[in-house]
Amino acid sequence: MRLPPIEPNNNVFLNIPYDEAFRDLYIAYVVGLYQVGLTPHVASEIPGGERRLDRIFALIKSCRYSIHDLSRVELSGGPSSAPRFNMPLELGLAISWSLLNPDLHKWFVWESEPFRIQRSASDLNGTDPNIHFGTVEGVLGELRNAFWWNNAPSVETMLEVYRGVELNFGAILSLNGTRNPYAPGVFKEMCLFISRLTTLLRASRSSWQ
Amino acid sequence: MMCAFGTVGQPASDQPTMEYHGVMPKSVRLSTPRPSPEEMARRLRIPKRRQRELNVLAEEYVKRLRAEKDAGESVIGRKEKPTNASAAD
Repeated sequence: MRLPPIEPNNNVFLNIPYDEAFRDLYIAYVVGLYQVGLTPHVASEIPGGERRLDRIFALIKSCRYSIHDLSRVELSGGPSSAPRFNMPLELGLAISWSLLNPDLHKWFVWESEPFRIQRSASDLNGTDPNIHFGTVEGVLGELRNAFWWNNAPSVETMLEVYRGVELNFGAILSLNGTRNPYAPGVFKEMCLFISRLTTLLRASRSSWQ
Repeated sequence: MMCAFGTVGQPASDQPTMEYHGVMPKSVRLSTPRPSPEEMARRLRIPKRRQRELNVLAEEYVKRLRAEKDAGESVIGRKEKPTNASAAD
């Protein structure tokens, strides 16, 4: 049975590795998504005692788009190293949801290296991943390419916002009493900070030029 | 021996037998407006006091950016290094 169309929304489910090494790209994703007119959502922001997978699937269903970063294909460190299967697992959920409801959801795969996905997930052959080369500029540029919005600023302008977040990230962590960059409160306050900063910079820019 | 999908024994670098011809677009065109900071604060349920604290941080950064631009410096001129190294690095 096909579900009725949901309200048009700009929500994006961001499926990324939650580790310290990915922090800069995480910030870049959140900054960039807001800059191209979208509202990012991450699994950690969902409250409730339901099983994590149920909460993630509910979030995917509530989002018009999803971005699945499959760049972390290395084994985790430590004596009991293991590959990271969470991102491909959640991509599978999004693909299934989209196949059943193509009008409700569109998904994107992102990688840091060209052609690697043909080895790591060859069933995805025939699709074009967005390649960010593991850089902040790469993430921002590819977001601009993937989500074409007439009002999207240049990558240089996006970088001004990114730099502002980076400089104030420690303060946002302190306000939340945590060192975890992926904590729900940190994510929400980073989103609001980006929103406020974007508005202020846009208002100021005309007087600078 | 081949399984139902024909992928057993198929090297990943070879032409796959189960290509995905799905709905993933390379890009989509957006037309809806970006939410305002006030709308974001409401959606995110951030208390007024914290909103003010974040606003002060944002205003201070804009002032700093302006001062650097006036001085002819670039706040974004630094070279980005790849940040996608393994967590084990």
